[in-house]
Parts: sequence; C-alpha cells; structure tokens
Amino acid sequence: MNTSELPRIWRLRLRENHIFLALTILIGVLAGLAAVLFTLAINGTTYLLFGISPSYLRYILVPTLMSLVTGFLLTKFFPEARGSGVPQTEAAYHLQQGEIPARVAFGKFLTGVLCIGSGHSMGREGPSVQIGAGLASSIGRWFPLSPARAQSLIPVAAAAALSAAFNTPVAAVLFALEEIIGDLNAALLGSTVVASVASVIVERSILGSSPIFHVPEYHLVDPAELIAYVALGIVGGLVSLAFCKGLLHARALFLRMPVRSKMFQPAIGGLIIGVLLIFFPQVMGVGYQYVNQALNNGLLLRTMLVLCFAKLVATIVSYASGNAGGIFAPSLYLGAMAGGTIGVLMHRFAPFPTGDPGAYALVGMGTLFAGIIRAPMTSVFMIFELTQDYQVLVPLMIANMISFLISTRYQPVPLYHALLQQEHVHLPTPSVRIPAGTWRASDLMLRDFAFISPQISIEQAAEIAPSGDASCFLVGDKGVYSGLVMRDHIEKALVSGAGKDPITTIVTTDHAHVHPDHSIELVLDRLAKSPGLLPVVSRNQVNRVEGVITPQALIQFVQRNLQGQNTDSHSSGGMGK
Amino acid sequence: VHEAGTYRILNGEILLLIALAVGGIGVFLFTRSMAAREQRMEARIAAIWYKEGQRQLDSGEVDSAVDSFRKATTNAPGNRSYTLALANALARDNHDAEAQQILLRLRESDPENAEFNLYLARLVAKRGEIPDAVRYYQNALYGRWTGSQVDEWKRQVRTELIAYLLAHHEHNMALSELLMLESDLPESAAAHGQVAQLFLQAGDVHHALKHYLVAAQLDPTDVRALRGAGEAAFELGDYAKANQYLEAALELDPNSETTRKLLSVTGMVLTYDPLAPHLTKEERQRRLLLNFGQSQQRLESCLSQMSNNQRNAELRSLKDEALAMEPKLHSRQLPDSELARSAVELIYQIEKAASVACGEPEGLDQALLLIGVKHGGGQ
Repeated sequence: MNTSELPRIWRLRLRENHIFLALTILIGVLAGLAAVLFTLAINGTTYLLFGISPSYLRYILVPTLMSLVTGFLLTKFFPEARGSGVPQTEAAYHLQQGEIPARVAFGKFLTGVLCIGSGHSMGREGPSVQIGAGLASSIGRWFPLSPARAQSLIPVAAAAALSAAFNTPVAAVLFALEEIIGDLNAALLGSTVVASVASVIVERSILGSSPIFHVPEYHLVDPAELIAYVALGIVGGLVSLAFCKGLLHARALFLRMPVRSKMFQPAIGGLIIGVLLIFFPQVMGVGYQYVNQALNNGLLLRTMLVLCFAKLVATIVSYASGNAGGIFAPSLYLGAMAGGTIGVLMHRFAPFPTGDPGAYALVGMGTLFAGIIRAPMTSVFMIFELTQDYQVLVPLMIANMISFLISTRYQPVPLYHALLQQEHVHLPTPSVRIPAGTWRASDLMLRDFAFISPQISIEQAAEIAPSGDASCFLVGDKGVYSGLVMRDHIEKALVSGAGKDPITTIVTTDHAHVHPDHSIELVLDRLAKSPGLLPVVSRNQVNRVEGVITPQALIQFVQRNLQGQNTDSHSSGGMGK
Repeated sequence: VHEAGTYRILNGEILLLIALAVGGIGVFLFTRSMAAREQRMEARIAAIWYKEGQRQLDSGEVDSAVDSFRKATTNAPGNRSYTLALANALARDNHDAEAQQILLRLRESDPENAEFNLYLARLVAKRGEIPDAVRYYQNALYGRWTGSQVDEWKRQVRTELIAYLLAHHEHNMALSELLMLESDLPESAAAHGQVAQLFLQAGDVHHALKHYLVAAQLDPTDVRALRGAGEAAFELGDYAKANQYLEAALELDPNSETTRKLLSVTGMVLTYDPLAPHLTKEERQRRLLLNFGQSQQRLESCLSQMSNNQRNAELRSLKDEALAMEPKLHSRQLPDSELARSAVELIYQIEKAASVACGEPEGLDQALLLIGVKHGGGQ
C-alpha cells in the first residue's frame, strides 16, 4: 500500500519530541487533577470521619481504626505507598528508569486519603508527587518513548503535582529539579515549567485563585533585624535537626519490631495521634489553617511553642509508624510555629525595632523547609512566591542558609535519602554522578562469585573456601549477603579450637561497598581500604550483591582496556571509555 | 507496506493522545463537580459555625466566638461576611494585630468597601493612631455602601468620626466634619439635637444654639433640646434667652437639678447686673452696692483660708483697691457709668482671684463673675 493514498490525517507523523511535548501538557493536567482530587478526598474524608465537632472518643477511635485498615492495605497490597512519596519517586527516577506501577499511584491515593483524612499529622504534597509520577510512568509506558524520555516524565509529573497541591508553580519546578533530579541545570527545565503551568491552571480553574496562605505584607523594619533572622536560622536548624533525628530514630524503632507487627504499626501511631488530638486538635492533618493564624499574628507565644512541639511529635509518630503521608506540610507548619515564637520573643526583647511575628513565621516556614527537606533554592522561591515581595529575600536567604548548614553538619544524609537507606535503598548523590562514557564499577566487577553459606561452621567453611590468593570471602545466601569473612580469621579460629562454631561468629559487617554506578576513582579509594574484596551492591537493595571487585580483577581490567590508550588521556587523569 | 504499518502505529499514538485528552476533560469535569459539591458542604458547615459564633458573641463568649468564626472562615475562605465577623470578634477579644491583618487583606481585595474601611477605622482608632483612623473613616464615608439606608449609615459614621476627633481634641477637624454633617441632616429633632451637642463640644456655641433651637422647634416637648439651647445661650452670654429656654425646659422636666441650678444663676445674672440697660441710677447703685458687698465677703472669706503668700498679696492688693472704691460707691452722689464700670471690673477681678485661690464660686458669686465677663471683664 502506498502511503500517499492515505488521507492526510492518517499520514500525520509524530516524532518522539512531539509525543513528549503533548505528554508533558497532558501529564501536567492529569497530575494537577489528581492532586486536586486528592486534596478534595482528604477534606471530604476528614469531615466524614470527624464531623463538625468531634468528641474525645472519636478523636481516639478514628485514627486508630482507620490506621488498622491502612496498615492492612499497606502491608498486603501497597507496600510502596508508605511514607511521603518524594523519596520513593526519587528512587524510581534514579534507580528504576522512572518506572512506577499504576498500582502504587492508586494505593498512594487510597491510603494517603485514609491516613491524612483520619487525622494523621502528615502532608498531602509528597503523596501528590508520587501519585502524579505514578500516573506519568504508566501513561509514558503506553507510548514508544526511549527509556530516557520515559524517565523524564517523572520530574515533569512531580512538578505538576506539587504545583497543584501547593499552588506555587515556580517553586514546584525548582523542587522537581533540585529534589527529584538533583540538578538545577537539568535539561528538563522547559518541560517541568510547561507541566507546572498546565497543572496550576487546572487547579485554579477548579479551586479558584485564592492562595493557600494569607501572607501579611513583609517589612524589614531595621537593618539590625537581620540579627534576629540569624537567630531564627539557628533555631530553625536545631528544630530541623531534632525533627530529622527524631524521625529517623523512631522509624528505626518501628523497623526493628517483628515483621508480624508491620500491619499493626500504623494503628499504634494512630492511637498515639488520637490521644494527642484530644489535647492538641490543631495538629490534625495538614493544618494549614493554623499556619495562616501564625502568619497573621493570630497565635499566642505559648500556643505556638506548644504546637511546634506537638506537631513535631505527631508527625514523627505518624510517619515513623508507617502511614502514608508527607513531611512537606508539617515542615512548613513547624517553621511557622518556630518562626512565630522567635518573632514574638524578638518583638518583646530585642533592643532594636522588629517586624510583626507573622513575618518571622513566614521566614520560619522557608527555614524549616530548607533544614528538613534540604531544598534551599525551592524554599527561597516558595516563600518569595507566596509573598511576591523582594524585601523578604535577604532575611529568608540568611535564615535558610544557616538552618541548612546546621542541619547538613549534624545530619549529613538528607532526610529523604536517610529514610530510603533505612529501607536498604541508596540513592546516588550528585557527587557520585559521573558523565556518560566514563568507566564505572559495573564495568570492572566480577559477576561470577561464590557465597559461603551463613549456616555452616568455621571448619566447613575452611574446607569449601576457594583456594588461591583470596584473603576474604562473601558470606550470604541467594545473592543476599550478610558480611565478609577473612581467611586469617578462619585459620585463627581453627587454631584456637573454635572450628565447630558457626561461621557467623567471625563475619565482619564493617566494610566498604560500592554501587554499580560508582566511578573508578571511588572504587580505587574504597578497594584500598577494603580487606581485598569490594562488594558491588544494588542501590535498590543494598544487601544484594551484583558483583565483586578484587585487586586481581582490577589488574585484569586495566590490562584488558587501558593498553594502547594515548598518553594524553592518562596524564589528564580521565577514566573515559 | 512497511511504511503503512508504521503509520498505523503512529496513528495509534495520536488516537491515544486524543483519548487521554478526552479522558482528561472527563476527569476535569468530574473533579470540578466534586469541588463544587465540597464547596457547598463547606459553605453549609461554615454557616453553622458562623451562626454559632454570632450566638457566642451575643452571649459574651468572645473567645469561643473567635474559634467559631475561624472555623467558618476556614470552611468558606472567600466569604467576606464571615471574615469580617472574625475580625470584629478578634478586635473585641483584643487580638488587634490579627484583626488588623485580616481587615487589611479584606480592604486590599476591595479598597472602596465602606464596611471594611469602617472596621479598620474603628480598630486603628482603638489603638490611638489618629491620622490612620481619620483616613479610614474618610475612606468609609466616601466608599461604596450597600443596603437601603446608606445616608443614615453615613451620618452615623460621620458622627462617630466627630466624636472620636473631639475625644482626641482635634476640634478643627471635628468642626469641618460637623459642617458637612449639618448640611445633610434629616428633619428630626434627635438629629439636630445630636449635632448641636457635638457643636457645643467642639466649641461652636452659635451653631449648637441654632441646632438646639431647630430641634426644639421640631419637637417642642424635647426637653434636652430646650435645656441645650438654654446652656448654649448661657455660654454666649445671652442670659435673657437662656432664662427663657431653661424655664421652658424646667417646665417640662421640673426634677432636673442641673437645669434648676443653671436657671438660678441665669436669674441672678439678670437680676444683679448693674450695667443692664434701662436701669434707674438708684437701682444701679443698689445693685452695685449689693454686688460689691458680696464680693468683699467672698474676698474676706477667701483671705481667711489663705496661706500662700503670693496669692495672699494679690488678694490684699484687691482688698486695698476695694477699700479705696467703697467710699465712692457709698457717696450720696449716684455713681456715673464710668464708676459703675470700674466697680463691675473690680468685682470681677475679686471674684476671679478668689475663684482661682479658693475654688469655683457658687450662687451669686458665680453670677457676679459672669456679669463681669459679660461686660468685658479683664480686657
């Protein structure tokens, strides 16, 4: 059949670029709609479950019973839907080529609505990001896009979802670049902007253009007031740190509980939240109305101080117990309360004129966001977008940077990444990302390796240990390793008569590893510190070994690949393919 | 054939995109209907909280009312009445800063709204920020009003502004507002009476008298108007008219002690004024002697209470002057008008000095002071 015989419309040809652009807009709209629906569903569920004026009994029963339901759903059907959704989206983008099953998006929607709607102190922005990204991933798979293009739809959807959920399109774009991609110079800037704009148009046409926060006019009353913002930055950094450390410890505590209890852990959180709600109903759900009050000088010093503490505890409990919901909104809430508190204190005791406490609450929101979420540029633009006032920029940047530095100094791994690490997922940091065409650990690792079973004794291990020069061996089973064992440790144990002891008694877990995408420079550095065997582990599951690197493997690799390369490339220190 | 196959696949993508777009429109419509439904539900809940807030406010539970109004505004953030009610409750609960933020925001959304400006004016006035308060009151007066009784509202607001200005001793501004108010007064005794009262407070007694008289004319049984007219005439030194109005007022309200006292003083001024027109020389001398005697008594009594040397010296000097004047008054030759004026001036000086040294005069002494003022005492 000749193509010229086809009607004109049937001859229309779409290139990948065209499809991608159309999908960007479509995903922007759909992610925005999903975020709006998510917000509406949470509000509706809250009214349905709590009514207008809930009793104490209801405060306790609703979160507890609903958390039993969500615990069941999260354990049996949607285990990927626990938590915020932002780190999971990052993991999907960096480690799974942007693949998020549709089931995850649906599960996140359902469990997020039930968790936040039943009073858990969590935010809707993180789940919206995951829902949007899940939709984008599913839709992207219906089209013949290259893997890189399909992967690119994730940050596009994240920007769109956040834009609709928080109503700040510019900050949403920056968040997608800074947090999801981890690179502000990303080539996806244009697509994220298009999606964010499409999404916010949809959101405003449904919910109206009324802003989430009624932000007071900002004034820097006196240049000396910048000192007060330094104090706010320090306090913000400390509160951020308390939140991050508290959340990670609490989450680790829940993760250490028996696996059987996993289904009931959200209900434990629900019960604690229920009790908290009796005394502090203000910490329920997203809580933006109280942020508004703090912004407009509507809360007393004591109230803000108490709410800051109560929200911190409530969010840690809700999140750590394995519910579905984000920390984006709670970080803003904490910031408003901490900032408002500092504002009132400065207003009363500072020896220089100061602005209203509401101004400090506003800057405090950005400060805690920078300290907890670790997206300082997003936080600056977010507050700037809320105020639309240049005057706020200098105090905001001062407070944000101080908070960010304190938080980074004492909690080097960002919270989202640390939470993933607790689930044995290691995200690549910007510093380990290496340009395409550069040698990686995966290029030189040996894929053929053997494990010593952890069930055998030292004597048995000595018998089956591979002979040769190897000084240490992997101990593990079915690709999942539990540590390394040294040849000289085995020998010493045999000499000392401990040959019948299980091998696990001499296994060491304190050793370096690399991921397949690590550079050769890093491999060399870690191999030098290793006992002669460097496991290459998956980023998705750090106890799964994908290969090993030994000095011999390295020498073979060098012999195989670097011979014949010109002197210039060696002298430049490059490790290019 | 291969190319055609490719086109079919590509066309499938177009169809898929179209299907997604159509699906998106469907989801959009569904979401919009959901949002509208939720907004209706929230509006109902907001109305419940608003009603509850009003009840609590009426029964004096301002704290609870603030909470209720907060919930109402959270559920219906766009409802200005609820927001205004919240601002009002916050102001009553002394959360002025937050109330002001809310009102400023409302005003920002509608700068010409008279109600928003009025609430802001009241709040700022409460905080003693006079220029801002006046600005917001003016904005309210020249803003956009809704409802059927706009003129009446405006009059009330202007009256409120005038009362505020008077309370803060901004008499000139108050007077200019009063002049605008009087140009737009309804034909009612109450309105004229109120304006007259404000004129009186602002120190414009002429206008005060005018409006009291209009009020009394519109309602001859308006005792306050008559008494006000009497007071205004009294202030102006027109004791004959004051006497007339005060008598009329006392006739309508015989139990008013204030009116009775003022009438008594007025009567004495009229009865003992030695410079009143159409008096015989004998009568003038009689009055002069009586007044002179009374002033000397007041002087002696005051001297006996005095310890302050400086005041004492002033009073003694006046006593010396009085002693020098006394023989001339008692002379068989009736006093000429020059002597009479000198005597009235001396009596005025004595009464004034005594009132400064020994407290406000009463009865005849007060009347003598007023007679002195009436005839240019001290000038």
